Amino acid sequence: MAIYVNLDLMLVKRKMSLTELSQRIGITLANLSILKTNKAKAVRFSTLEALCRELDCQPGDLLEYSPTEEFGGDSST
Amino acid sequence: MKNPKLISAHIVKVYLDICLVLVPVFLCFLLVWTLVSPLVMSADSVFTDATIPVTVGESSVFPVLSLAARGTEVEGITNLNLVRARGELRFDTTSWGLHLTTILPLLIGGLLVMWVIFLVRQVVASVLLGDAFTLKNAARLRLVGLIMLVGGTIGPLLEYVHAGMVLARIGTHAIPLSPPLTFPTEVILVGLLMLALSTVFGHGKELEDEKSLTI
Repeated sequence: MAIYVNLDLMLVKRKMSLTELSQRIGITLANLSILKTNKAKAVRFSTLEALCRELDCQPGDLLEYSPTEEFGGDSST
Repeated sequence: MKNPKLISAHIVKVYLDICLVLVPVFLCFLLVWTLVSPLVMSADSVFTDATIPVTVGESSVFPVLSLAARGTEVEGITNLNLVRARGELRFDTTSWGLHLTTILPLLIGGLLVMWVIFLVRQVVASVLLGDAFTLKNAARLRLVGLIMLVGGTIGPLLEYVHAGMVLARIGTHAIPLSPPLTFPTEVILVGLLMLALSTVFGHGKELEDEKSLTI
């Protein structure tokens, strides 16, 4: 998939750990890890909203489109 | 019981478990007795109740036996035919080989039924574990479908050839008998349904993956 989730960069900028973020937005560490490693196939608006709220950013800060690169494991869908 | 919605699946699993015990026991008994019988029986012993399927009449697909030609004329009835009469020819034999040929279809059919029961039981067990939509289950259902299709098409052909050979050997007497050629429509339809269901399970697996990877 050519969409990249910049979650690790935003966490570094906000000096926040993945565990802390998962506790704040109520999403399991395993699911956040899927998001961070770009294995997710889709992101719910509610998840995006919670991430933007806690990281104090815009959706565009979290998502990046790069047509020439493939991120994550499965590129079939 | 954890989930009342799965009561029917539990009942099916118990039923299949019972079948998985009884069918092999029956098949083992049959196989052992068939193999051991020539050793324990005396030379002039008779194997009873050997059975082959037959149709009454000259044709295998649509057998007709004219009763009018057999002196059963009734006033006002111009023609009298017995049509599509099917049954089993049961005979006693001293030939172990002939006896074996009537047991083999039962053994092969029993093994196929056991295989289908085993596969369906595995699918039901995974449903009870809450893990129904997997590629393994799709493959199992595909296999069940193929077994039923092959069993439903090749099985009757083999039965036809076998019954024909036995009939040729023992001959027919007063009534003309033919080997039957009937394809079990319901088995073939269920086989096709299983193949369709395996595609549904494959698609379900994709949907489940998508659901689990939607954060």
